[in-house]
Amino acid sequence: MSDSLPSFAVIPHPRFKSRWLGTCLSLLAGGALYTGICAGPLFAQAPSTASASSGQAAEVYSKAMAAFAAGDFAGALAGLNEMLTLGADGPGMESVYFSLAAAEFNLGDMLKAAGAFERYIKLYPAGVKLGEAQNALAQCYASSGAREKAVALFGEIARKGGVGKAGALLSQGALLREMGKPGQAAEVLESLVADGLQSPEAVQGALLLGSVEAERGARDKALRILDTLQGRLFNVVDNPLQLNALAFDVGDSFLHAGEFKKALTAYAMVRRIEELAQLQQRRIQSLIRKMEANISAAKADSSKVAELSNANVRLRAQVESAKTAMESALGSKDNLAALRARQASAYQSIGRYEEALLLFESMLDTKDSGVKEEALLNLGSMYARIGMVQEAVQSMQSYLSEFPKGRSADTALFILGSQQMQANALEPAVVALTRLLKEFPKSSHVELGRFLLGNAQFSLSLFNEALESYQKYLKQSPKGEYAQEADYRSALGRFFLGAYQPALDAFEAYVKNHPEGLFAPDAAYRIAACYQAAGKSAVVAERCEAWEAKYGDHPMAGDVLALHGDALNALERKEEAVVIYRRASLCGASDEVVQYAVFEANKILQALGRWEVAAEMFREFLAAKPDHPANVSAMYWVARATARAGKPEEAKAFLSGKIRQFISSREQDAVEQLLSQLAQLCAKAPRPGSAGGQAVGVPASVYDAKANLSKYLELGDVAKTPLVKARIWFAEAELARLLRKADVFDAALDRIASEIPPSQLGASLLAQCGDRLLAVGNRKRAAEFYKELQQAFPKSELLDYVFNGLGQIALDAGKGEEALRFFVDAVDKAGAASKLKEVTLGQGKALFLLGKGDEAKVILEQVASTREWRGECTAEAVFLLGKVQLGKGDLAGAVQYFQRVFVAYQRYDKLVAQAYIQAAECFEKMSEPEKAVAHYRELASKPRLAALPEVALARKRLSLVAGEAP
Amino acid sequence: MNRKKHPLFFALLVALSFGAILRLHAEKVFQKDGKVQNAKEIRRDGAFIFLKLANAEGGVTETLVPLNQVERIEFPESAALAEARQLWRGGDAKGVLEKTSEVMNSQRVYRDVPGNQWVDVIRLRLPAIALESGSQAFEDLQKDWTPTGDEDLDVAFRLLVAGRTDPAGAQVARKALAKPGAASLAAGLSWLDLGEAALKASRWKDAVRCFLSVEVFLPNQRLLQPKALLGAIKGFIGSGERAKAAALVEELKMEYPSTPEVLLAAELLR
Repeated sequence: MSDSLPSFAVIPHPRFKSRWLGTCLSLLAGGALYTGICAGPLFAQAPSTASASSGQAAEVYSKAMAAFAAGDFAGALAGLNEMLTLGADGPGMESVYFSLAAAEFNLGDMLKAAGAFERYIKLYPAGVKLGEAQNALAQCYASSGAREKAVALFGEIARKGGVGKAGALLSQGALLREMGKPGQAAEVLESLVADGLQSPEAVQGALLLGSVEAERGARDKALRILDTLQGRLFNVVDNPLQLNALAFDVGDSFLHAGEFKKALTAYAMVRRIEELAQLQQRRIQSLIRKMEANISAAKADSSKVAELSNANVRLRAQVESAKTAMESALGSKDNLAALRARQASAYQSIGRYEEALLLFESMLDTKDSGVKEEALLNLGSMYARIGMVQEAVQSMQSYLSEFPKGRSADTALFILGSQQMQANALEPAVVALTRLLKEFPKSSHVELGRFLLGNAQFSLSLFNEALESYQKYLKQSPKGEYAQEADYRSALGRFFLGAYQPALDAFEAYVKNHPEGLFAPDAAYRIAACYQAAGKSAVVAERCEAWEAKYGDHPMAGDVLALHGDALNALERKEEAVVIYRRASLCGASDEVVQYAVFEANKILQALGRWEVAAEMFREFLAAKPDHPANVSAMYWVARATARAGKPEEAKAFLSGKIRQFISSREQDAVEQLLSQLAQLCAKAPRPGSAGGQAVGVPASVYDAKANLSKYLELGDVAKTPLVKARIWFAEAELARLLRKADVFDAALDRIASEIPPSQLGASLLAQCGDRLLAVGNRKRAAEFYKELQQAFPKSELLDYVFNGLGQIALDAGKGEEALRFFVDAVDKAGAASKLKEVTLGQGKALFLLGKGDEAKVILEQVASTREWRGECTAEAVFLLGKVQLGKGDLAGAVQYFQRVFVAYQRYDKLVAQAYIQAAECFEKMSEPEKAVAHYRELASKPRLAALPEVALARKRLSLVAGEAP
Repeated sequence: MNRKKHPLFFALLVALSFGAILRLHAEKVFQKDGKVQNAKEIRRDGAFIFLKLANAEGGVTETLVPLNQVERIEFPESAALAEARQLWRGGDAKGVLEKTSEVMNSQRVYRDVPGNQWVDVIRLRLPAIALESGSQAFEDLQKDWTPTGDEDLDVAFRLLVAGRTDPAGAQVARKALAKPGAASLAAGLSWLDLGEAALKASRWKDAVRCFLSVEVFLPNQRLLQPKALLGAIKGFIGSGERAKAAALVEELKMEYPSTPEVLLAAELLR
C-alpha cells in the first residue's frame, strides 16, 4: 500500500480551520491568513490490498470510502461503523479505524474524533498512519479544550523526530502562545528554527517566534528575526503579508517602549502592497515553472509519475496558497497610511520634525479622503507645535475647505484660530474661534477656544466682547485652567474701557481671591491707577508704597514708580516726585516708561530751576541706559541743563566729548544733532562772569564764535576721514546759519556735496545735501545722495527725505505717476516725520499734473488749511487751487484764489507775480478788460518784483490791451 | 551551498572563481525533464550549459545541457556578493562596486537563464555607480545594459543616462520623479541631485527637504543614505540649525561609521 498517493479528498474541517485562525490572527496584523501548515490535510486511509474479508464487507467499505471522497462524512461514518458490526477483521481494518476517526474529525465532533484516534493508536501502535493519527489527536485535544494534553502530545511527536517534527513544534509553539505562555512558546519555536529556515514550518515558526518575542519584550531578538526573514523573503516566506504584519508588530513594540530609532528600523522593513504582489507573482511563476518541469519529467520517465504527481499536488497547493495570499494582499487596505503615521510618530518623538512633516505631506497626495483628512490635521498640528505658524494656518484652512464637516473640523478651527492669533491675524482668529463655538458647542476645544477668543477680542480692543467671552468661560469653567487669567483680564478690560469703579471692584476681588496670583502685582498696580483716575492721589501714593514694599524689584516696578511720581506731582510734592521719577527711569522695564519718567522729572526740575540736578539726572540716565533710544535727547539735556546752570563751557566740553566718541561712525545719526547743539552754544557769547566769559568790569572784547567752535571741535587723534571732515564743515555751517550767514551755510553744504562721496556720509548729511542739491537744481546729483541714503540706511528715520526728494525730481520731470508714488511712499513707508508738509503738497501737485483736479483740490485745501504749515507752501497750495478752478472753467473762482495769494502771501515774490498774471488773464477771458488792466498795472508798479519776467509780460499786455507804452 | 558546513571548500571555490571568470561553481541545474544536476562547475557556450559532475570514481565528468532544456539554475551566493551586501548596509558605494565586479562578470552570460543573479547584482551596483560618478563602471554597465524587467532599476538607469546625454531633460525628469512619498531608486537619485542644486543656491530648507526625503522614503537604499545625511547636515548648518545638524552627524557616525561622509560631516560642525 502506498499512503502517499492522493486517493482521497483533502477536506480540512471548518472548525479545525477556524481553530487555527485564532492563532494566526494573533500573529498577523494585516489580516491575511495562512492555514495550510497548521491545519495539515487529513485524509482517509487508502484501502489496503487486503481489504475486508467478505464480499458484503468489501461492498460496504467501498461505498463508505466513496462517500468520504465525496465529502459525505456522515455517510462514510455510517458505512465504516457497519464494517465494525459485520465483524470484519484482518490488516485491512487499520484503514477502517483510521478513516472512521478521520470522518469523526471532519464532522467536527472532536471528543468522538479523539476517542476514535486513541482507539486507532491503541490497536495499531506501529500503524502506517500513526504519525498522522497522533497529530490529529493532538489537534482534537487542542480543539476540545484539553490544551495541556495537546501540548504534551505535540511534544511527544516532535521528540520522535521525522517528518512530523517541524509541524508538531510549530503547533506546540502556537498553542503555548495561545495559552499565554510566551516563554515556553519561544523555547519551542527556537528549537524549530535552530537548524535554519529550511522548511515552510520553520519559516512559519520564525514568523511566530518574532511576534512572540516582540510581545514578551525581547524586541531586539524580534528585530533580528525580522531582518533574517527579510533577506529570504522571496525564497521561503509563503505569504509576505505575514512579514509585513511582523514588521508592524516589532515596530509597534519598539514604539511603545520608546525605542524610536529601532521602531523606524522595523518599519523600514514594511513593504508596499504593490511590491508584495509583484514578489508574490514572481514566486507563483517560479512554482508553475517547477510544476511544468515535473510534468515533462513524468512524461519522460513513467516510473516517476506517482512521485512527481504527488510533488505537483504539493506545488499546486503552494500556488493556490500564494495566489490567495496575493489576492488578499491586493484586496487589503493599503498599509501606507498606517505605516507613515507610525513613522511620523517615531520621528516626532525623537524631535526630528522635518522628517515627520515630510511623511505627513506625502500622505496628502492620496485618493483616500480619510487618510488625507488625518494627514492635513496632523500636519497643521505639527506645524503649530514647531512654530511654523503660516504653514499651520494654511494646513488648517485647507482642511476646513476640503472637509468642512470633517470629524476633526473642531480641532482644525481651534488650531486655525490659535495660530492666527500667533500670527497676529486677530480678526480672522476671532472668526475661526467664533465658528468653533457656534458650530461645535460640545467640542473639547470649546473651553480653551472661548478663552482664546476673549484674548483675541481683547487684543483688538473689543473689550466689551472680550468681557462677554471671559464671563462665559468663567461660567462654564469656574475652576478652569485659565480661570484666574480670565478674572484678571475681565478687570483689565473694564479698566481699558474707562469703567474705573467696576474695574477697581474687579481688581480688588481678584487680589482677594488670588493674593499670590500670577497677576496680583499688576492688579495691585491697576488698583492704584484706578484711584489715580478718580483723582485720589494720596491713596495712589499710599498704594504705590505698599506695592513696592510687597513686590520690591518686580519687573513692573518702573510703571508703579512712574505712577507714584505722578501722584506725588499732583500732590505738589515735587521734590519727592523727582526722586521717584528718577528711580522709575532707572528700573523701568520698557523704553516708554523710562523715557516718560525721566522727562517728567526733567519738567519739574526745569520748573524749579534745578538745572544742575537735571544735568546730573541725565548723566546718570546715560550711564545706566547706554543703548536707550532717548540717549540723544538725554545728551542734549545734559548740555542744555549744564549751560542753563551757568556752565556753558562744561556743556560744550560734554558735547565735544560725545561728538569725539561718535564722529567717525557713519551709523551714528545723533552726531549731527550734537554738532548743531554745540554750534548753538558756541554762537552765544558767554555772559560776563560766567565760566568761559570775561570777568565782570573788564572791557568787552569781540567774541569769536567760530574760534570757540573750533576749540571744541579739536578732535585730537581722531582720524580726519572724509566723514569727519564733512561733519566739521557741517558744524561750521550750522554756526554760520545761527549767525545769520545763510550764504556760508549753503556754501558749506555745497562743499560737502561736491567734495565728499555720498558713500562716505551719514544719513543726516546725505539728507541735507540731497535737499541742497535739489534746491540748486542739481537733480541728478541729488538723486545719488537720496539713493545712497536709501540703500545704506534702509531703516533710517530720514527716509522721507529720500521719497520727497525723488518725488520732487519726478515732478520736475513731468512724471506725475512716479512722483505720486514717491510721495505716497514717504507717508506709508517712512512716516514722513520731517517732510509731511512737502510730500502732502507734492501729492497735490502730482494729482494736478495728472489732471485729477478734484483729488488735487482735496489735498491742496488740506495744505492750505494746516495752520502749522503756514508759509510759502500755503501760498503755493492756494495758487494751485486757483489753477484747479481755472482748469474747471470757473474763472471767477480761480480769480479769488489768485487774489488771495498776492494779498495774503506777499513775501513770496514769484508766486505773487504769477498770481497777478493769472488773475488778469482770467479777467480778460471774462471780458472785464478794466480789471485785467488794473491787475497788470499793480504788478508793474511793484519795484520789488521788477526783475521778474511776469512784470515784463504785464507791461506787454498793458500795451496791447490799454495801449500803454511798454 | 552552506558555507558553515564546508568552509574550506567554499574558500577554495572563491579563490578559483577569480581565475575562471565565466565558470561558476557548485550550482544546481534544474532541467525541464525534472533532472537536477549538482554541478561542481558550469560554463556557458552559446546555447549550451556545460556541467562538470563528480563521477562514482571520484573524478569529474563533463556533460552538456541545451539551454532550452534548463528550467533554472540555482547559483550559490558567492562570498563576494555576501560581502557586497554587508558593504551596502554600511553605505560603502565604492566597496560595493569592487565586490560585485567579479560576480557581475560571471553572471553576464546567464542573464537570460532563470535563477540568475544579474538583477540582484544590478540592484546593488546601480546606486553605487550613480554615487561614484567618476568611475568607469557606468560606461561598462551601459555597454552591457538590457532592460532588467524591474521597472525601478530600468527607470533609474535611464535617468543616469539622461543625466549625461540630456542634462536639461534629466532635470525635468528629476523634478517629476521626486514627488513626496515616492520610493523608487530614481526618486532617491533625483532627490540627491536636486538637494545638491539647492545647496549650491543656498536654498537651505529645500535642500534639507530633498535629502531627508531620501532618508524617510527610501530607508532601505542604504548606499544613498550617507550622502543624503551629509547633504541634510549642510542644509541645517546653512540655515543656522546646528543642533539638528549635530543630531544627524551622530546618526551618520552610528549607522555608516566607515564612510567618508562621517569625517566631512564632523569637519563641517567644527
